[in-house]
Amino acid sequence: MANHSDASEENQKRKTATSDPREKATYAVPVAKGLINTLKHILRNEPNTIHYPDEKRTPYPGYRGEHRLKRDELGREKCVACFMCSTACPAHCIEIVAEEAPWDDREKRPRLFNIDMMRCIYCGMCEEACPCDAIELTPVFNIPARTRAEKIYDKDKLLSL
Amino acid sequence: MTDPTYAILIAMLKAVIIFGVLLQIVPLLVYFERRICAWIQDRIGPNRVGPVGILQPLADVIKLAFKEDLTPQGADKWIYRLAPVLVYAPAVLAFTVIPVGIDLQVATFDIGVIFLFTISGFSVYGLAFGGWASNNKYSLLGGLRASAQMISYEVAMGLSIIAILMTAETVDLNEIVRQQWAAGTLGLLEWNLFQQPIAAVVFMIAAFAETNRLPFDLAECEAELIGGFHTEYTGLKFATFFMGEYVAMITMSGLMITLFLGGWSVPWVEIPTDPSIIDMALSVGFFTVKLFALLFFYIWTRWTLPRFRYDQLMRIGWKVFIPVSLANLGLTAIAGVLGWKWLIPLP
Amino acid sequence: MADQQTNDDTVAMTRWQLNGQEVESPTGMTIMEAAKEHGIEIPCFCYHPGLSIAGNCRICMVESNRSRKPVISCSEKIAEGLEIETESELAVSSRNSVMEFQLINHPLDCPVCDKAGECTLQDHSYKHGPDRSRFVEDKNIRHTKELGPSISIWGNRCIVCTRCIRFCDEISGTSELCIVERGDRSVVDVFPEIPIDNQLAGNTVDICPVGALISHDFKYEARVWNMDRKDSVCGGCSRGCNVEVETLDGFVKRLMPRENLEVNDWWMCDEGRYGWRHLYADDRLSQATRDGAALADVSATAALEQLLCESGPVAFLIDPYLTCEEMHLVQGLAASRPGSSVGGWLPEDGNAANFPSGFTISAAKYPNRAGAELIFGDQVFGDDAKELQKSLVSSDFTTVVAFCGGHLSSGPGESWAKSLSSTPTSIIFSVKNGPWLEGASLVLPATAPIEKDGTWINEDGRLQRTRSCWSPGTEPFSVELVRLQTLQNALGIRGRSLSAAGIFRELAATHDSFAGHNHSDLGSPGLLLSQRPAGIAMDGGSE
Repeated sequence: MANHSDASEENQKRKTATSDPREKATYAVPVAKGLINTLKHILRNEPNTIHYPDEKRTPYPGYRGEHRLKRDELGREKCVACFMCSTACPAHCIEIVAEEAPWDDREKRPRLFNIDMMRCIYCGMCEEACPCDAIELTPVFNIPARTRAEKIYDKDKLLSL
Repeated sequence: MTDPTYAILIAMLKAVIIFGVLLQIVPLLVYFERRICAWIQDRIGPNRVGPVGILQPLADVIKLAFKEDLTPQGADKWIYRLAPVLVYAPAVLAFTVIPVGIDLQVATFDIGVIFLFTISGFSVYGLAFGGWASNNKYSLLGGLRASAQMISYEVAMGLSIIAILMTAETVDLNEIVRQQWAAGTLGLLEWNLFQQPIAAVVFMIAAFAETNRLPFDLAECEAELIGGFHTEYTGLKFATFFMGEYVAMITMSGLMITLFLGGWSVPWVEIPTDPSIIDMALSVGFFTVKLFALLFFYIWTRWTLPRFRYDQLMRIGWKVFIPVSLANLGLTAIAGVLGWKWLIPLP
Repeated sequence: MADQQTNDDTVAMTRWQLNGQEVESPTGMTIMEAAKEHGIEIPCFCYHPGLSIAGNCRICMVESNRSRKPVISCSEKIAEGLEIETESELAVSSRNSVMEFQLINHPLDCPVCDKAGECTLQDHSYKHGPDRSRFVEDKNIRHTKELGPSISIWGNRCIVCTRCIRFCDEISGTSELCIVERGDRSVVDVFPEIPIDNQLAGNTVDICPVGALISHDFKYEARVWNMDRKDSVCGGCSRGCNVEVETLDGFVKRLMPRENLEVNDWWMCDEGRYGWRHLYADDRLSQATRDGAALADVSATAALEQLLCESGPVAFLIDPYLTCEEMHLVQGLAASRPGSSVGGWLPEDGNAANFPSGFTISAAKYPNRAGAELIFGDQVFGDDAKELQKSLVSSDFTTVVAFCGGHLSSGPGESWAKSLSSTPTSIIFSVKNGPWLEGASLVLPATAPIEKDGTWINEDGRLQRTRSCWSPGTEPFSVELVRLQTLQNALGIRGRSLSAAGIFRELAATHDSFAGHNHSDLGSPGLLLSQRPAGIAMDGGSE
């Protein structure tokens, strides 16, 4: 009860405060402050934007763009189709089908490795999960496509990036 | 001067030149608005069309001209078409009485201020009609807000001007300008801005509300009403609304300059009794400089302040500005009767 | 089972101490089993409840007051006054050391190991093992080879728990597997020229605590954590082994046995285990046809309704793959058409097998003959069927509705096929394409046993719940349960369609043998039904 009455009193106070005509005079100060602030910006004139297609910003180190699959020294894909990336992926955008590898030093390799770039949220969990350092997020972010199908990258495309 | 043909020719020439220049200021103003807003927001602003983006307004006009001209189903067709004209025409017409140079205006009336008020009061019809004829609830709400807002603030604005007219004892705008002139730097203090500060502030703020500019653009209010009264308007009809808003802004600034900022005069230059062409050009130049300074203030304010709430707007209008300007009016009247020269400028 | 023993007064009890608490357990139990009853899980690799105790992995060591050294809880029995600590410093450090030892030669190739995700070694390493290895020497390389047609061994992963060897000795009785080499080079192998090829071989993969034994059927197919699991019952034979159907994106990937001590213990046969591939075989029927022309699912239902509404008495030919619920719906349809008659066809018997452990494979390769006989009468596959065939041949019926289920069966025989095609209007629900569909008026794709939702009664008279491997929302429209109810709705003998559980309630209300039961009663062991009237229907199973 006590709390309740406190609250209602508080409310009442706030109400009377906002309907106090004297308070209107105080608009002037914040308005003036705001005007001075924006005037400073006008005078400083240091744009934070760039002429994008003409100038390009260098991505920061660790920038997470589109994926690629890496190859080892012999030119074979490093991926062993362990599904760790697709398991870690919060967007469920990685589709893998495994097959037996034709090489002696490993058992599995991906027959199918599709990443749906339209669904990907570029969080980099796949890169962190990969035990073979086979998947990597490149700084590339500006590859457009005309259809959704083009943004589903298959194994060959990922390896060629 | 008595030759009527000559007089008509002069009047037509003035009309063509002044209106022509006035309309050319609008695209320039749009460009400035976009550029200044970009500076305020630490952006670059329009820079693709023409050198430093100066042709951007032209591109906008071309875009608007080629847009499909839609009329919503169920709209009141004629009123719907009439509304943009009703916003645009009064704004332009009102400018006819504003003296842009020494005794230089399109139409010379003895009742300049009253004519201006009568005409600019019409623009509320444009907004209300547009909102109503669109057959859209957002438009209707926008139109209603616009009419309520403009009518409310017209009262405060009118009252603040009456105080000026009382001290000036004339409604001739050129005469009012002359009264504000005094020689020397201190002559600035003769401006009504300093002589009648309360009226000036009330007029300035009411002018924002009259022209539907932020922080009082409740009639458009994108967050609540999509586009307010012009939600359904496209293409050149929308462009006409848009132009109307900017012309109204110029007109209001012109009036503000004339009434409060010494009009086409500056205290450092004596007003010649028989002005030469150079004097005329100078006075137009002074007026233009003041005009752009005031327009900059409009734009600057728009990109600084957030929009008021509708109830705040109404409360400020009725409960603050009207009483304040009434009190100002009363004080001026008493001072005038008692001859308190230290308080108000008496002729 | 264990609960029943503790509640039984005749069982002698032993008092002992577990982690400082006085507890009582039935005399003769091992420490591990008794501790599990009291809620303490002791890790194990080589221990399996269905196999003899080997005691060779040592992970289950606990501290005992009767021994200076830790004892292995899987073989040590409880005794009066015994004090056991499972979480003391000695017990924990023993487990820790054993885990480190087990991992010395383990390749840690979890990313490519098919066991990963359900691997006991992984789980125990996570819970009990050290977080890093001190072993810097080279690991032993052991053989990777095929042990038989369906199983391979990855010797590097083997921890030599001998579960698979004991299984082949004790459960299947075939003894193909053995340990070769000594010490840290020892590994499971088969004798030369004798591959592991018994009917239960697939179970060795299930019980392997690591990924050493891998079934070719599942190799590289899926990661286990991505799959959905449904508790189902194998329809391969009348035993009705309890299975778990594991699906990935709606496709069956493997079947795993589910523990049911009353039916299949922990095991299942390879025939049932690998039989799921027939679900996706080329001869699987997926398209409804009317007089040879393809029909959409909805028009197929409309055609079914039309044919049945126009018909007079109908002959119903059922099969022992139908669930009790579906049979109940068929019975309802038959009852609504005066003059109708019901008979059933039986697939040919296959090979039966008995194993030393008591595990049996039935010769009757269908799941629900007992249910059909309970619902339609003893003679549904006998005299009734003969009579039905006779009247079909003599064209007494103008309409026949036949069910030809079972993805593993070869379908109804030639004589049935002939009598079906001689009937003017024949409506056939079939899982596969086959000669029995020739001349059929309406062919409807049917569901295979593990795709059905309902109950079956196995050869012991045990009522068991089976669930569809389809996830909710993915099941096709053509489920018989839906088709038959839609038909009943159209004929006006049913108001609204129900789930399998709802139909079972109707069945229980109309049939004495099922009286008083419902789906939620059927726990994992199922219910043993007696054919006596309601009230004394229950004769065992869970309370």
